[in-house]
Amino acid sequence: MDFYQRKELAMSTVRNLFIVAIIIVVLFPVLYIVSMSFNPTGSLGADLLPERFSLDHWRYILGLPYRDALNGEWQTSSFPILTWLFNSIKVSLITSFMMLVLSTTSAYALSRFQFKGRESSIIVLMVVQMFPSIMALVAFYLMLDFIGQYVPALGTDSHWGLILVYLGGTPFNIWLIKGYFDTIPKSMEESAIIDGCTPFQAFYKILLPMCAPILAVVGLLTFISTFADFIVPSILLKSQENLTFAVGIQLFIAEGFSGRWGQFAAACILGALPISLVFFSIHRYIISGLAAGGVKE
Amino acid sequence: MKKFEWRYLFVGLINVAIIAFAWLAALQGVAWISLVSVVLLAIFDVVFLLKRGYPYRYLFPGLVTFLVFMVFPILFTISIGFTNLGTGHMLSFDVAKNILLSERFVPVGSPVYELQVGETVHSYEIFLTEEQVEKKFWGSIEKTSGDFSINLQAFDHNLSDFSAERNISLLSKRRVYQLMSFLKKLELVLPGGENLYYSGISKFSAVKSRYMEHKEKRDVLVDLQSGEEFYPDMDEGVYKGKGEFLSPGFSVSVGFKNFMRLFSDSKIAGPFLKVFIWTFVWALFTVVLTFAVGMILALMLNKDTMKFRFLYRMLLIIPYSIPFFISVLIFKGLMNKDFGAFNEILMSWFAIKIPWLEHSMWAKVSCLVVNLWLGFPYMLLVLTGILQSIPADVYEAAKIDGAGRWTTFWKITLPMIMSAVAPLLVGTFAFNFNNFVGIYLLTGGLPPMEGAATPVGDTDILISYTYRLAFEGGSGQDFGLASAISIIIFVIIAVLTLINFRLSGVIKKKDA
Repeated sequence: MDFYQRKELAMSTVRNLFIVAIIIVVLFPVLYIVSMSFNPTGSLGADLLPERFSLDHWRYILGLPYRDALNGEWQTSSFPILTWLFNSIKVSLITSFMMLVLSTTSAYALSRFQFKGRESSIIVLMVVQMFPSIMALVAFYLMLDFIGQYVPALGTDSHWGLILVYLGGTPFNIWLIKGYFDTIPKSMEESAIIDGCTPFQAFYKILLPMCAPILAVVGLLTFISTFADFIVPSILLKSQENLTFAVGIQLFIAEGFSGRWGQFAAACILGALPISLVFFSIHRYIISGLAAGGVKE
Repeated sequence: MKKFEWRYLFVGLINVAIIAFAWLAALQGVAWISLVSVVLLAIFDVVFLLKRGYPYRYLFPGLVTFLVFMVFPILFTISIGFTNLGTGHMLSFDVAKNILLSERFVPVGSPVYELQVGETVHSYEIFLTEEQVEKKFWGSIEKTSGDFSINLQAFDHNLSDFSAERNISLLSKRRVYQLMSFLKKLELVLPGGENLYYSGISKFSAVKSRYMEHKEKRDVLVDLQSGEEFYPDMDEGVYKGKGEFLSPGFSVSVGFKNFMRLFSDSKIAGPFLKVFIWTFVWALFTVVLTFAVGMILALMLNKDTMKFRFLYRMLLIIPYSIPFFISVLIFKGLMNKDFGAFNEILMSWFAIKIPWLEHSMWAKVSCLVVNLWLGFPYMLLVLTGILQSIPADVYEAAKIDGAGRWTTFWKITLPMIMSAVAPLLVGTFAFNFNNFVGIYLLTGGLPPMEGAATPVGDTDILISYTYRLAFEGGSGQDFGLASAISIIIFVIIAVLTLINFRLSGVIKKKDA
């Protein structure tokens, strides 16, 4: 091994150590939370490595009977944590599905037809998609409050009202999907139409299956961002059993930080794991999508 | 045979549903909603029934939701910014006036009747007792009756015998309390013709209207108890008498007053300026820090010689894959001053404690640190993609020319990726400008600013300040001021968007 090779080896070791050190620092909160969720002490400031392994916190958040840390009695949690998770999944699923229906059809019109107002629609969509909807919070609240006086199922404290607010955010997705449609040659649909398909059949029997990857990505991205949204449900939802996971878990921990730390840790993992997995399954597409759109949401 | 067209069934059903909805809205007295729905329905019918409307059929559903739940709320927010809408000023003038006109009072000396309510399967039974002269009355009303007027008759039986005889179950105070909204609508007519109204828990009295509209002066209210006149103040949105004003007030247009308050009212303008500056500092520092860290890591992991670079990259991206709200709440626990893991470690290693979230400067640093943790993986991801698009021979050429690593980065790599990176940086800036979760869930905007007239803290950014003004109660909700700040955010974001379109060159292309 000559001097040059040895220098290279030393440099590479240093680089690896540096990166590993950074990874440890970066992953510290994650590891800590995993450890906390199995630590029976469960208060803020417990040791990083638990002395005993316990599933009590997991039983707590899953609504199973658990042994109370203080008096040793068996009891069940009074917080509907699983309901919150279910609410979030329900709202996110419905939002993603309806978002796909609304944005694929609109994108199809903008990509495949020539009609009056097409150019200006494209410009309006492009400009408006840059405004995050949270800037119109006050209006959303007052609108749904008003609607709720007549149709309670669409008002504040309702999941459908929340979903409607999210559906206003179609432009960004129309934009993404239209971009993808534009890259697919028209010839396939055209020949199908000549063979007797209606344009609508050509749309959903030929074009949509060809675009499955982008549709999956848009659907999952919508799912993630809806699931992770805090601000809109925090102003719209009120009753405990209606809350989404984000709002519920924030209330749960804001009321008693030190005592509920272990249960909170378990709940965090339960809520984050599915989202994390979804994210890693599509993160390659996210890079290109984000690079085009510029922002996360 | 002609194929059955599902389209007509679909259009028909939508028509029935929307017309029913418009009808209901009109019955409820919100005519503008029925008008808007009928107009939208007409457009819908044209689009879905005429051949020429074909392309619009695909556009229509997405466009309508976008208009109703995006464009309209934005315009609505802008209009609220020019009103005093908020606690005490939530109602329109007419509604507030009618509420005042329906207010009643019990004249001094008029008899008070104690209420007892009984229930049968079909009816409510009302029993009244006048305490001083021991007079009793009874009346009955069908549960399903839409009429709320009951004629009472004198009653001289024993109440418990009478109710047992007729299968009437007497209700507890608690149940009576639950019926309050129903009881409030009742008008009980005594045999002598005098009307009694609900006048307090379990009490009915002969009440009188408190206010009356002035006979000559329109919209002026006269207090029948004191004779005082109240004039509507259309600048402040309240009825004003001599020094007194009536509640509820109403919402009025206040022109640019909300903006004037933001810039000249010393108790609001000072904190607002601080929040404004911190919002820019926060967004800018976040962009610079995440970019720097993301860039260093991306460059290090871009070397082919690094063995586990894919694994390393995956591990480093983990923070980005966790929903932000969860990570931020975890950090809030870790940064707890007395019990948090950070201070535990600092205590055992260096015997110091840092007030991560309590002290103004540390709270700002904490926000930036947490946001760096949340945001650098995004930069790492995107920069890796961009760096890989640089052809390798460029670097080889630089090496041959004798350029060092440092020179190569500043003179070659950075300029080459800048056109791709610049719009991303502006986009990240815009995102963090409104990064509510990154601030609110960590510090709640705290620590509070001293001497401020509104709820505001040292780490508040514009969007969290807006949220607290509108929804955090405490000193009341101020939708007008909150919307005025939203308008300012709109303008800033619009400028950033324009810059971004310029940078990414979208605006030059005619049809993007």
